[in-house]
Amino acid sequence: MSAAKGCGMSKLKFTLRLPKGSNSPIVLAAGGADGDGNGQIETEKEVEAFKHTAEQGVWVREQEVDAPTQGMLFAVTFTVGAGVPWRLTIDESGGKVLFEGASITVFPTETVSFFL
Amino acid sequence: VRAAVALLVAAGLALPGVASGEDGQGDSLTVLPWSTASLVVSSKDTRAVLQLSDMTDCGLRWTGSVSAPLDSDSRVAAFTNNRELGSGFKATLQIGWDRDAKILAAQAKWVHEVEALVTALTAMPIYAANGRLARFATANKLPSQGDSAVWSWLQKRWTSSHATEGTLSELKESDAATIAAATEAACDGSVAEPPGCLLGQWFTVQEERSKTYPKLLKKIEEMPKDLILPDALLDESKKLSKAELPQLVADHLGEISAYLATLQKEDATARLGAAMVTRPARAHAGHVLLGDVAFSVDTKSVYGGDLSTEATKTIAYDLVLGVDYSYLPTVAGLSVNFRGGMERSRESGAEEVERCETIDSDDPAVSGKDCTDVLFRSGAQPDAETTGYARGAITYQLHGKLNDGEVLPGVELRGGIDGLFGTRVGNGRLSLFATPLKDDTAGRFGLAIDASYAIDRGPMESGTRWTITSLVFVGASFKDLLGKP
Repeated sequence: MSAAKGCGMSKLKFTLRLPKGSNSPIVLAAGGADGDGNGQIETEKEVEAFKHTAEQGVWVREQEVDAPTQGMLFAVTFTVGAGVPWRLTIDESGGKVLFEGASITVFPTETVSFFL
Repeated sequence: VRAAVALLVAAGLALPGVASGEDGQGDSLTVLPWSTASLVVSSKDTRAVLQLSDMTDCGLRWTGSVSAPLDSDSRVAAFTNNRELGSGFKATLQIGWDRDAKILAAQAKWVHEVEALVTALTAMPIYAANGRLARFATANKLPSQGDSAVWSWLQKRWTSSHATEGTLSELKESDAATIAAATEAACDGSVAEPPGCLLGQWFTVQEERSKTYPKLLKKIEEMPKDLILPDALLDESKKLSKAELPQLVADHLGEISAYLATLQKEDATARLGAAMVTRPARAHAGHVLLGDVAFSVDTKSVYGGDLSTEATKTIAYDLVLGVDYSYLPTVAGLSVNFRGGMERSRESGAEEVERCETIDSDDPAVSGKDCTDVLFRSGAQPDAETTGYARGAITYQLHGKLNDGEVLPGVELRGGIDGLFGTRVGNGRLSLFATPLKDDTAGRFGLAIDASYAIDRGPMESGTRWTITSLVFVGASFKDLLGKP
């Protein structure tokens, strides 16, 4: 059951895709959502590193959140090099897409922060 | 540099009158030297030791010591006597190279530096963590693509406001510092959080990251060739190309850092002389190459030829030059050591005998004698001779986590031949030992059986060729007892 209805925990899945690969010898990605709903993304549980998957150019992390996901603040920062196309999606358990954004990095490190 | 004072206190089996040309570690185990400050009770020798030892991050290892026998009556060890080296004085120096120590130190330093840069790049900017960036995007109807969108928005704003200013019509990254300085002033802490304040912080972060990122790239280029990785990552690393290794390291920085910390802790324990440097589960074997120099001198009063004459001063000495190589296989706790070298020595040739003087008596039915143990030599002092030695040892020490309160048991088997090119003697020793750890102190106690076999002997010599003796040792090393200069 969705936490958006205020009925317990739900799981978010963050997926960072670099369709054309990175422009950096290593890719760093970390972040998460304001899982406790206190207006800050600051705890170790909320800010966690993404893990590289077996699929080339895909980094993911999963997060269990207590607060309602609707309108929840999230922030993700990733270092992939400048001029790199990226796509960030945030799914709720059940497959519902809560956020999707894509662009091309201007700086080597990009930060995306918005509300679900 | 660590300084050490060691006391070797013992019973009975010392070798009076004979200069000992043993290697610098003859008091204990082959690959576990007493280091830092030690108190050792051994049944083989009785001496006080002043020792200095150190192992630098560039791989240089050295141990130097001077020692002198402890007088059983005065409990004083005299290093010098009347401006001469004291009887039984011994000095040793081991100096050499520890390949693993150098690799470990270099990688640990590299990993820590990479960690710091990664932390800086993955740290969440406060304006993102507290939602200010999200609110800014909402207020300005940005499509929420983060920095890319903010930059695009700024460029449009800048272009429209500076359209008539020629070269300034386009916002460039090089303008970031100027804009950051100008907009930072707008941060007044108000609840309204004016965009200027946000943009000032935003530019500052981008500028810092722009400086940090090239440092990370440079650091990655400096990645050590011989990566020291935990077991689980070793197999994975073998499947990857060289270009893919940095990502593996980045993905597992925390694990690698923790693993290196364990190895460094082991190194520290090894420096305390409590555990071997084995670095369990290494990708490659370890190598430690040292040079040995040992010098000992012994001055004794010896009766030559006739016990009724005055005893004369006899000097025996021993000088050893050799090499010491330790091979550290990938099997945790196992070490194989080889030593070889040349020895120039001159022995006193004296043996301990009981010398008695008859006490006069007027009554022929009563007689007495006053006896003392003295050193006696029937002929002239033997000439100095040059011989060689070759020794090998295999040691196994069960490794724990090297925490306080742990006891690390071990066993060592060593064998070798002394007196090469001369009178050869085969030697062997089996030692069982245990090392309790407590804070910066490492204890050690053990039991050993020594066996020697006279390979060569003169035609007139008879009796068994075998000599079996036992040895017990108890001791402790104290880290930095004398402080670090």
